[in-house]
This record gives sequence, structure tokens and C-alpha cells, in this order.
Amino acid sequence: MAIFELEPYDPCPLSRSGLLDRSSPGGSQVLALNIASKYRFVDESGAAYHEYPVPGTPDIQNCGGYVDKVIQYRDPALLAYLAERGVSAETFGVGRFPILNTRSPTLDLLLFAAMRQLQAREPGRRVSLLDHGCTVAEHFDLLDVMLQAESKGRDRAADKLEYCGLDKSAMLLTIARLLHFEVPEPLFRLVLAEGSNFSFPARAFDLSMSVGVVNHVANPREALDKILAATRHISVIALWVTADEQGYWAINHSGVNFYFFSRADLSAALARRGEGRFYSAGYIPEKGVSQPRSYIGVGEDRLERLGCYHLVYSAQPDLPFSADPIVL
Amino acid sequence: MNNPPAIPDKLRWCVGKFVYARGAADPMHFMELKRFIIDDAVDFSHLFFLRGLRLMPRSAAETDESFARWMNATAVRPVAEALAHLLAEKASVPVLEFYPGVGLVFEYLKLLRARAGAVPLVYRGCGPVATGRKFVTLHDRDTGTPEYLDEADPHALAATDGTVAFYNHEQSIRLDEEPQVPLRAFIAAVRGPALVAARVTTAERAQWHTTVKGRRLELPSLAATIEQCRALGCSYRFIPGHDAGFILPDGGAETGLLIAGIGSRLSPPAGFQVA
Repeated sequence: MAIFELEPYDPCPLSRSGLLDRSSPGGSQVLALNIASKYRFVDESGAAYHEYPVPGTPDIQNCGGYVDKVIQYRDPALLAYLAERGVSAETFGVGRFPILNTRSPTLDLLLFAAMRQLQAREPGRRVSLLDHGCTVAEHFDLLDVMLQAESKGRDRAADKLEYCGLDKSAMLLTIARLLHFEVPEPLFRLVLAEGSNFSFPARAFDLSMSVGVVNHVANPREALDKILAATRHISVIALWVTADEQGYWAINHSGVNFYFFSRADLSAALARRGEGRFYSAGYIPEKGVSQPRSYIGVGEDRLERLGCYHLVYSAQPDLPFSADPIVL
Repeated sequence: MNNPPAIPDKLRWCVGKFVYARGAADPMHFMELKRFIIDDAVDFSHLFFLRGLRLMPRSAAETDESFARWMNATAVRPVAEALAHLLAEKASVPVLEFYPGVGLVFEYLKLLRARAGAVPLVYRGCGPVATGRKFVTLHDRDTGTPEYLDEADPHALAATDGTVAFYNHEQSIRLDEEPQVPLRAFIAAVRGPALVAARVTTAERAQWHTTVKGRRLELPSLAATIEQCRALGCSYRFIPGHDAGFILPDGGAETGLLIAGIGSRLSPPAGFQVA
């Protein structure tokens, strides 16, 4: 049997200027794509020797990533750590649970502070939360862990939250339900809808969140408007923005259209809302992230002007966490 | 006569999403996929598909069917049905599965037993600690916290006494685990009834191969494994070429999946032959 010497390689290095980068933001291109997820082995001449397919469906891949988060959040050692050290930016930032120092838990920490503020104002009240693009409702689990840790086990998310998750994937919503089967349905509502094609009454939720979803729905600007309109107190959103004057569309790694907001887009959203303002609780440049290849055909030049705001929207004067007003 | 293609000794490799402009041979974009997405995505999807069939049958029917082909690669169905057959003889005996991964066979058995109105199973896993956390977390709110033994426990094999023991060699290979409890030691230790699901070679002797994950592993021989099982009474089914692409083409003999029931007094399940 052959014994192989294996060496990793990059079949398509990121170039300075991406294939689909445009000279003018208003331009448009039409492109048919084939996307395949696979192991690929080539010989020294670069000729294909062997390929082994792996699942490429976004639902399946999301299932892998987000159920894994639930498993990590439900680790009893994580609860013990937070119960001992406290729930704070400091304990999330360092320590033996690297997952806490990633984007999603950082935003959950903001929501947790907002929950606590509302409950301090009105003890005993249930806080309603809209989770836009909820996948398997993993945010519910981390909020549950934080509540347990801070209350020494007295409080659970099922007792303090009225949760509503929205996602376009029936498969992921089914998994969300199955992972939280013990939570009564009225307190754990799941809505099957495309991320800009939904309707809730104005101010229906105390809090709302959307982590990396608004950018890739069918109509991102409309989705942002709807989330803000449905929020009574605070909205926390991971939103990708460009420093270019105008927002523009790209294509993400799943072949899905992805809109980079401009500051002008944010300003227009506020004007349509008619109240409140945006704050930044963090900004992560796209070039600094561990996976800078999320966008097809976008080169390094354009990546340098992209980043993700940990965006907070609120009309209330006192935020329960540190965030800087965004001057638009 | 054509010569077989030369087998290179050096290969370059990657795993991820390849994006092609339609009709093009060369990718215009590549994004590496993280191992946890690749390894866990199929198993988690499969597990919740099965659970949905049991707890939310209407919702499960809406589940994306595109992963049926990936479910087949896990071989859960034929393995679980063989185990269910053994359990017909020992209905109330606990199951101890070595290398259960996230517990796909366990989940399938829950479905089969729920449909048959049978009592819930007592099911234990044994394997690496890191996998154990997934196994326990994914089943505890569904069935009560299942036990999980560290494979390094010196009493792991002795724990097969009084159980229907099951060695899931196939799953350990898929998950790139390096079992500390060898297959041969398991077969030597069990008294039956027991089940083995093993990736084997059709060569007369064990052969070394390389998986797409880069692991060198020695696959046991089909004939030798059946021979070892025969002493306790064995019926088996061999699925040639099962998930063959997982092994890099290296000029070796054909591989496949062996499912072998050991020490059962029942007649073999359909499709199985007596060794």
C-alpha cells in the first residue's frame, strides 16, 4: 500500500483585488456559480488525485456549528466557572472557555445586561426577546447559563424570558424545538419566515437581536427597519458595514447575496425610525477575523474597508453597558 | 494492456468550499471549512432528524431531505437494526456501545422502540472523554443523563458483562478517533450477545491505509475478523465499498463495512449469513 506524504495547500489564494470587486459601487454583475464542499488531493503537478465530498448544504453546516455551541454552553464546567468568577466582560474575555471570547457570546452579554436592567425596574417581569435568525436558539442557552450563574441556580431562562426565534430554515427550527423540548411553547415561540418577510406589532419585544443575519436576507434595509420597529428597549445586532460611501452587494461563501451597509444606510434607517440612536459596542475589522474568505471575489483591498459593528439601537438614555454613540 | 495509474507518494490536500463560475474547471474562490463543521454537521443533523421522527413527526417531515445521502454514509440504519435484532433476545439488558460518537445508533434505537411501544433502553457509551460530553449533552434532556465511560478506564472491557455490547469501529474511524480499546480485545472479551460494526479490508491480512483526514490506520481483515467471532457463534453482513472514498486510493484491496452479531441464540436477521 502506498504511504502518502501529505501537505496542506491553498487552491485559490486571496488576491489583492478580488475578481468581483467593482470600480463603482453602483455596478452590477450576473454570475452563475457552482459550489462544492469537499476534500481535494492533488499530486505535485497539481493534477487532481482524489476528492471526497462533505455536506455543502447551509442547513447541515449550520447545524454542525450551532449545535456545537449549545453543547459547549451546556457544559457544567462552564456554568461552574461563571458561577465562581461572575458574569462579566472580564470573565468572558479571558479564561479557559475560549468560546466566550467570540462574537456571539459578547453580544449575549449585552443582552443579559439589558435583561437585568429591565428586571431591576420591574422585578418578576418576563423579558420578551426576538432572536432574528435564531438557527437552533443557542442564545437561549447562553442566557440560561448566565442567569443560573448569577442567581446561584435560582433563575432559568425558561422562567425569565419570553423567547421568539425567527429563521427561514424549517430544519433548524425543528432542531431548536427538539433541543428545548422542555420549555413550554408559548414561552419559546419559533417563527418560520425569511429574514425580511415578517411582521410583528410595533414594540412587540423588549429586546431584539440579530447576529450576522441582517446582511444576507432578501431585503436587508427593510429587515433592519422591521427589527428596530419591533423593539421596545434595546436591539443588539452584528452588522457588517463598509467604509465606502454607498452600501453594496457581494456574494457570500454559500452563494447567497450579502449586503454591506454604509453609514448612510444607518443614518437613513434612523431617520425612518424617527427616534433613538445607534451605538457601537465593538467593531471588528474584517481583515482581523479568523475566516477572511467569507465573500466570493472580494479582494484584500475591499476587505480593508469592511468590518462588523456590534451595533446597539436604543431610544432610552441609559444603556446598561458601555457603548459609544455612532456619529452619522 | 493498460497499466494502472501511478500512485503518487506526495499529495497536497485541502478541505473546504470550492466556488466555480459555472462551467469552469478552476475555482474562483476557496474557503476552508473548520473540522468541527465537517465532522459534526452530518451526525448532528442525522440525530435530530431521527429525534424529530420520534417526537415531532410532522415537523421532521419538513426536514431538508438533501442529507439522505450523508445519512447513508453513517450506516446507522443497518447497524441499529442489527442491534435491535439482538435486543429482541435481551430486551431489558443495558447496551454498552464503544465509540458511539454522538449516539446515532442510540437515537435510532429510541425511534424503533418508541414505534414498537417497547420500554426505553438503558444505554451507555464508552470512548474518548471529549466525545462523551457531546454524547451526554445530546441525550440527557431526552432520556435522562446517560452514563459514559472513559475508554482509558481499565475496567472498560469488564463493563461489557451483563450488557449487550456493541463495538462501533466504523464510527471511531469516521470521527478520526484512535481507539484505546482495540477491536480484537473487545471480541476476545465479550461473551455475547454483542455486535461489531467494523471497517475492514477484503485482503487476507490486515492492511494499512490513509484516510482523507490524513490518519494512517490498520484495517482488520474481513476473513480474520469473522473467524475470531465464529467461536461464539456469529452471523454477519458485509457491505462492500461502503464509504470507500474516505480511504485514499492506495492500491490496496477493497474495503467495506462488516456488521457481525456475536453469541446470539436467535436466528440471523434478514440479509445476514451464518459464519
